[in-house]
Amino acid sequence: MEPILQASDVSVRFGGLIALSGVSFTVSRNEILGIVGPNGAGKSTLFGVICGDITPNAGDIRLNGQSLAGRLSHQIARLGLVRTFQTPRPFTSMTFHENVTIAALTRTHDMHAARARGEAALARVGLSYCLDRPSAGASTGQRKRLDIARALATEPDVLLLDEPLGGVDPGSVAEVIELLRQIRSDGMTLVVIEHNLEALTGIADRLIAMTLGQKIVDGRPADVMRDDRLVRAYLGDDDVTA
Amino acid sequence: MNNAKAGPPVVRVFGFEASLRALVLSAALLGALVVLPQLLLGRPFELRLLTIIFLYAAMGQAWNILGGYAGQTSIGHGLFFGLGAYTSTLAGLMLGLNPWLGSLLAIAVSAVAGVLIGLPCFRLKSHYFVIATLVVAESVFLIFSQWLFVGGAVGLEIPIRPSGWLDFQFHRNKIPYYYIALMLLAIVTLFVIWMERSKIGHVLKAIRDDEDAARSLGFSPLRYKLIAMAISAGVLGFCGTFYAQYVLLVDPPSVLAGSISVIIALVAIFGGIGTVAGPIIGSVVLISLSEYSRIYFSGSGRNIDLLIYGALIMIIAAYCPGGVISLFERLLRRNRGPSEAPPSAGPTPQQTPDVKTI
Amino acid sequence: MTVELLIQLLVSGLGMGFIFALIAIGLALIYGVVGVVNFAHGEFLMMSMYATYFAFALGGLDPLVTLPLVAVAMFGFGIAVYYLLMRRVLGAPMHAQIFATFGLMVFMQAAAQFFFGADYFSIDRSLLSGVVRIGGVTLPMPQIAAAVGALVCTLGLYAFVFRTGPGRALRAVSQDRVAALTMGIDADRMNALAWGLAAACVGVAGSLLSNFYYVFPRVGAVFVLVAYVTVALGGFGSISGALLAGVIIGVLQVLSGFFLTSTLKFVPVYLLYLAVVLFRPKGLLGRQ
Repeated sequence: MEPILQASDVSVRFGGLIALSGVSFTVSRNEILGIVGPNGAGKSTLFGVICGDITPNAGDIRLNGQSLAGRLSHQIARLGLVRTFQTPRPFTSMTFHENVTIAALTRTHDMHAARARGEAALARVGLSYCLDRPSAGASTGQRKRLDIARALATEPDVLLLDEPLGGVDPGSVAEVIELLRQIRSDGMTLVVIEHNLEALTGIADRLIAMTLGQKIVDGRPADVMRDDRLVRAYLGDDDVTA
Repeated sequence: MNNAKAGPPVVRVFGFEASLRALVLSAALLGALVVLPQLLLGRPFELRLLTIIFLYAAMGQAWNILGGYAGQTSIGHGLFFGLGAYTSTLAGLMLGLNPWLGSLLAIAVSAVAGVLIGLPCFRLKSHYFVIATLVVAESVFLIFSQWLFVGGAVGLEIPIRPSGWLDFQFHRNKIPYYYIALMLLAIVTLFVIWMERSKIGHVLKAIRDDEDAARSLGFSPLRYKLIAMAISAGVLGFCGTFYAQYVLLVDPPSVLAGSISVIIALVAIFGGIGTVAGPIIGSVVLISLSEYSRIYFSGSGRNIDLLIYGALIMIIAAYCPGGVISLFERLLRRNRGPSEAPPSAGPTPQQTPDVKTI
Repeated sequence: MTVELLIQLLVSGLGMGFIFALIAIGLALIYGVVGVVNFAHGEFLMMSMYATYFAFALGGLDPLVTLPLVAVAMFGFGIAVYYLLMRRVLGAPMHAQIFATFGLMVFMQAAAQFFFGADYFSIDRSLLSGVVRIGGVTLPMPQIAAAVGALVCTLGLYAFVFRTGPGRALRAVSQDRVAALTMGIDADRMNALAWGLAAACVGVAGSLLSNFYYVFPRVGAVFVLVAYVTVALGGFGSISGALLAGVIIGVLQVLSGFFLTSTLKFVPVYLLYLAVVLFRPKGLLGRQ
């Protein structure tokens, strides 16, 4: 079966800095792929390349076999690949409901239908009680969920989540993980960057570990977590050079 | 965005909801304005004042579409006003085109010009964009002042025709201008009300709040900005034609001056950026101020109004960026109590990456 | 077009270019440190020109003498503008920031016209009057002095920003505000300093300019758009870039004035702005 998302040999350089170097991986349909690695490993850069914000110096991304080269990020979103941000970005002049309604407007022109779909998306992430609240004053956890709800409202095939647990209080982590599990069982494919390794390994089918712009390990969570290279990447190793 | 609560009665008009109270008030106001000229016979100053107020309110509404809803601050929008005035006048002089048809041409030319300018300029970050609008407007002003085809610094005169609707000229009795301006304002306002509740309005607001987030969801910011620009510029083009037919003279200082751009933007910002009533309130206050101060300070020239404008802009920017409307909202909220917290219609403080603040 | 004429044009353009650069540097400083565009920058220039003129016309003081006084006064004025107005809009929406300085611009221009009238003033006699003849080329003394003065001031600012403690603090804030704060730099104070310095620079430029340029309410508007172009062309945040860009633009506008008409002499400059921000947002020497 053809992978739904495929990265081939992606490289990105910002001036003299090598952000990504020859990164390749595949994502199967309905899979949850986790991406781990210390800060500066290039994880967010990789997301940027996949969803079209960053043009790679080399390499290619394929969605459903179709190359995304040269496509603008909003076009890629329309193709069914949507991301959330590390720092949530709600539309601050609007309520929660308006935020998701706008996302739903990518799929329909009708305001009533969009509002209904938006409401449903909010319900799915458990934010129904926030319907008419302004998004500007929301807590981090609420904003993170709003980001997810917004992405869901666009009815994507692939969802890229950038640190969905970042800043979420420990009590709510399990809820978010459960939410991701539900989203996946609804048919979606998830790619998740996350630092909370314990939570991630509980839900991911596969893990990719990155450091210094390169993919160093790729496999099942249990195997990857035990891998020496990952430990060294996180803890630092004097022998490892760029 | 009222989700059904037991509240004031709601009426469905043309497919969207409006509170009965608002509808009745608006109808009453409109009715009063329609009747008003009959009471102003023999008072040309007040008639003219109201006509200009309606005109600038309409222009402020048009500016608001791009500046308030889409969040693209342009201080060169007067350019489209001038382009419209010149287009219909030139078409009339050279092709004998009826001014009403000329106005349609003016709308088209201004809209196209807006799109052509927007295509490269919308890629620019906010401050660069503002400067670009200034630069383009100033360039057009300078070029038109030198270009003999459009009359250079002297400009163009519209040949006087007998009063009549067909020729879009009225001489002794200026009341028809009043009605045309009123209708213009009404149409533009209704359009903005519709737009605010439609898909376009929502997407524009999203782009204003966070362009990158909107893009990540699948909206093309450029496309929506261009739509907003085309509408905004087109309306201003018609306003230019109206003004040309009103004063029967078109020259760079009167239709392409930088101050026009400032006043158009200010009318919207002072009244309330991103709101429907804002430009109307802004126009009423500012234009009245300008016209009355012109009488009382005629010795010092036109600048007492700019002096006051400048001070007002600074005060609004520093103390009340949401404009007069937001002041009302604050007062209302205080009376109603803290339970209701409606999202403000204008943009909220945003830490955007290109502004270096904490 | 004789060689002498060409040289005269080029020198004149160079001279103006240094003045553009000095004006632009103030803009770049404010944008780099505080993060706002000072739309009233041209009016700062105008104000210093009026101050210099009135010191001359009413007090008989030579512009050369008043120059340091004007610089100091403008320094104070810049700081005042920051504390009284700009501080309030730092966290506000974009249009509020734009309109704060824009309002100041409208206000100052109108105030100048209100108090001084729309007349054009000029300083006709000063220590720097007269011409210098080199070969067959005649160069007016005031322009040369202005060019030299602007260059000296630019280099002085350069030295300040790159060689002194406060200058380093300014650069720190402009590069990474949050990091600078964690190092104990008082960003608020740095903002004020940036405004003061920028105003002082523009004050010097205005004082020099009034030796040979007319003083009238809208003179600021003439120069400020050019300053934006200069900063954009040179690259925001680069003082040497502003200098280089100023020179290019100075020469460009002088040549345009000669080959087109003097009314249109800035149009190619404006076109240059659009070209630069669209195709090379970094500018010539910018770092963003």
